[in-house]
Amino acid sequence: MRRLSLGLTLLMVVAMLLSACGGAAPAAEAPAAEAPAAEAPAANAPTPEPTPVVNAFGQCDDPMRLWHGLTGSDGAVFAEMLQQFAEANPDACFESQGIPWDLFFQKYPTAVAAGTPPDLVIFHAAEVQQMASEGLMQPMDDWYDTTGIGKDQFNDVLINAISVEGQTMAVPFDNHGWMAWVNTKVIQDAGLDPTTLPKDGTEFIAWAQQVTTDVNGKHPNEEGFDKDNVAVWATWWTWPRFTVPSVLWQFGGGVVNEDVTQATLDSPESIAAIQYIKDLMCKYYVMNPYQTGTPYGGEPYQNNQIAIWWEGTWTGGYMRDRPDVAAVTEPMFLNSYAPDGKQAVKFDSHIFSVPTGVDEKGRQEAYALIKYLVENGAYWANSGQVPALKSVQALPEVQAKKSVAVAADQFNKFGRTDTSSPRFIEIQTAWETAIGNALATCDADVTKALQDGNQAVQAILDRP
Amino acid sequence: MGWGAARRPNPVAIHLNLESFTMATSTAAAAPQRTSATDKRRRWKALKNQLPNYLFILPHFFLFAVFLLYPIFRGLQISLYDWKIMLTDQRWLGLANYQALMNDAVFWQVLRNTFWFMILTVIMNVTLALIVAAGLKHRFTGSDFFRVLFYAPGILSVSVLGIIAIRVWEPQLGIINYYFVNVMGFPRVNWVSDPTLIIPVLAITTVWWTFGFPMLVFIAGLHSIPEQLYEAAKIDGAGVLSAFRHITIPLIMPTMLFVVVTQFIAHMQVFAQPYIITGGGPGNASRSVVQYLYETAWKYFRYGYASAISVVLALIMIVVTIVLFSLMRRRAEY
Repeated sequence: MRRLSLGLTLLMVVAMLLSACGGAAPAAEAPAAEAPAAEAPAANAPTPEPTPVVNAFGQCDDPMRLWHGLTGSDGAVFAEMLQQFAEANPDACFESQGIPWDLFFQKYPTAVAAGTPPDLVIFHAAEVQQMASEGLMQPMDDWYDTTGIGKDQFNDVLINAISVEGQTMAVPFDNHGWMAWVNTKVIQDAGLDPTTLPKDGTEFIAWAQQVTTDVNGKHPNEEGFDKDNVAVWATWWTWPRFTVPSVLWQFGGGVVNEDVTQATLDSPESIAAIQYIKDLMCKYYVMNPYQTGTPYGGEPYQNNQIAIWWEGTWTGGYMRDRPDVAAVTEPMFLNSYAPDGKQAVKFDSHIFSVPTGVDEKGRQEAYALIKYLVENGAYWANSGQVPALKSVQALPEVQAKKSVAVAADQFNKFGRTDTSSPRFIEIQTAWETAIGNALATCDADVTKALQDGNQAVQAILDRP
Repeated sequence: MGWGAARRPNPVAIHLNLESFTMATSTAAAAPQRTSATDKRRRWKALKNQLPNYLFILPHFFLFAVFLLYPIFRGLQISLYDWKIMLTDQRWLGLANYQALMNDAVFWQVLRNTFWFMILTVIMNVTLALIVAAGLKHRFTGSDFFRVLFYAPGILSVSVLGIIAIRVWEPQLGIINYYFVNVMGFPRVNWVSDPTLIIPVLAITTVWWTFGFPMLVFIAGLHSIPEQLYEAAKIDGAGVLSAFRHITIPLIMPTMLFVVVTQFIAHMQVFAQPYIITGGGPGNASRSVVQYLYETAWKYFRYGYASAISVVLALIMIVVTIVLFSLMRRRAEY
């Protein structure tokens, strides 16, 4: 009996060790170059980068520490900016650690709770409400006061997104988000004018059917079109985290209402928006079928298989590395799928934040670095991202980068940020799940999937 | 002799006079004291002799206690609170997290996904590993090469596995669909985005990655079966299949028990394959319990609820492991 109970006890301990501590579960590694905390891993995306990249500048016992998730191609540009700051400030002593986003959001709260926070962190505007509600951020209104850089010099939608109970919790570094990368060669090959694009969802379908062809050169509206062997797609299903909110807003729908109290995922407008996407895939065959995760069209785009590619501003780096692809590409405003041609686009921002627990010395050193990086945002435009300061956006060297200029213009005109909620990431997972259920197969019921998703989002909103 | 035994009436003393009886009882009372003292000395001596052994395990036990036992009990404690990482006074919830979990449709779905994945993977892994092991048990030209070849995927990191899997299963540009559509003329299959296909796809990918280890274990287990048994069976007219069924299977059961239990424990904790290949989608179709646990803790910062998930998962695994042990031990031939 003693042996049995000893054996059972050991068994329990082993099982609890294995499950509670996740003994055999390999650590998650962050995927794509540009992705917020809850990013679904990338299909066809750049290789995950598990090892933190540390750059040290100057020598001292207590360097200012910066943590960020800029580990993709934009990370290289960021490292150059830090080098420039170090050269301009020979007394500066700091280290920068690039950590994949998923690991970042494990290290950041635990470091703050342990009383050993970094002096400065960079993450996304969309996550500010959640991090602030967890008590991980210090208000940064005094940065605006002491530097003389007013909040009005930034995108006002963005400033609202990073404000909590009247306090501004962060300083924006950039604006980044969705835009249309238009392959002019593909459109010309289809016998169309690449400078005249469809203005609304109805026009788009007719236009897209002219562009899309199968391997035999047939269009989707022609007899004998082979939907399993499409050679050129009018457009490509891309990262739903940016694509879906943009289309929902174009149709007048959304995930939640303005004051984030009611889920609106099953509103007629939202259902119409997702049904439109589904029709592009399953009825008109002008968009590739749904893919889970973070679908990436880099390869088919460079092979001239996509006419309009909705992707991030950071694709500027992709174009920089592929001059032949850039030569046939025209960056444009995100085209509208809505019947009335309403324009809307989701954008986000890398923001600077001083974590809770940072002392005055660290705070002042962090403030100096933030000021330099924000004021010298023109260099950051080399990564494809839009500098946050409007005055920097207007500089000739920034305007010369067409994708950056176009993106800045559209974000200022009709850009919107994501749901401002302390439960933002949970809400995001809920609606992404619903979209997956709605689009996964052509016979899936869009209305039912969105109703279920709406219930899930509402339950999160209603939870005490 | 124990204290209880020493107090039993002495049958000889009953026949003595009172004085004798008194002496007898006092002698009987003194005896256990001496015995107890002797026992103590003996125990102390034994402990002293064993002290180096305890000292040897002390460092490991210390680390075990600090990094494993303490977190386990801390996890149990956290599961009873609405735990916020920056608060010093946490809000007590009692069993509310567990009640919420029982009504959480996502939890039940991810649990179903995990069981379905585990069952498929364990069955395929065990079957394939046993068949291949039976084939590679005997030495032949190239047998070492095949052992290495079949084991090789196991040395890949899960990230690499994920990237390979995406390349293989991708519906538009993947290798499988290239042969399916372009060579064989079948309709294009959306392998990683069809809710009904995704778990089998992940299971097949995992089997390719992990079946090398059970294969090696089975090869070792097969070598422990005496050849004479097969020779005797052959003389008695048993064929290959009959020998496999009546000799190999019964005698491989201890190995089978080890493989099944370790595979069960490993695959119930599946995390990185769905996380990297599908992100848990489409919908929640490939989200696993551990992925849900991870997201709940580190993306939603609901540490109490995540701890409750881990406790429930642990209990489920304990129960299933005990059932597996009892079922398979009955058939094990040692």
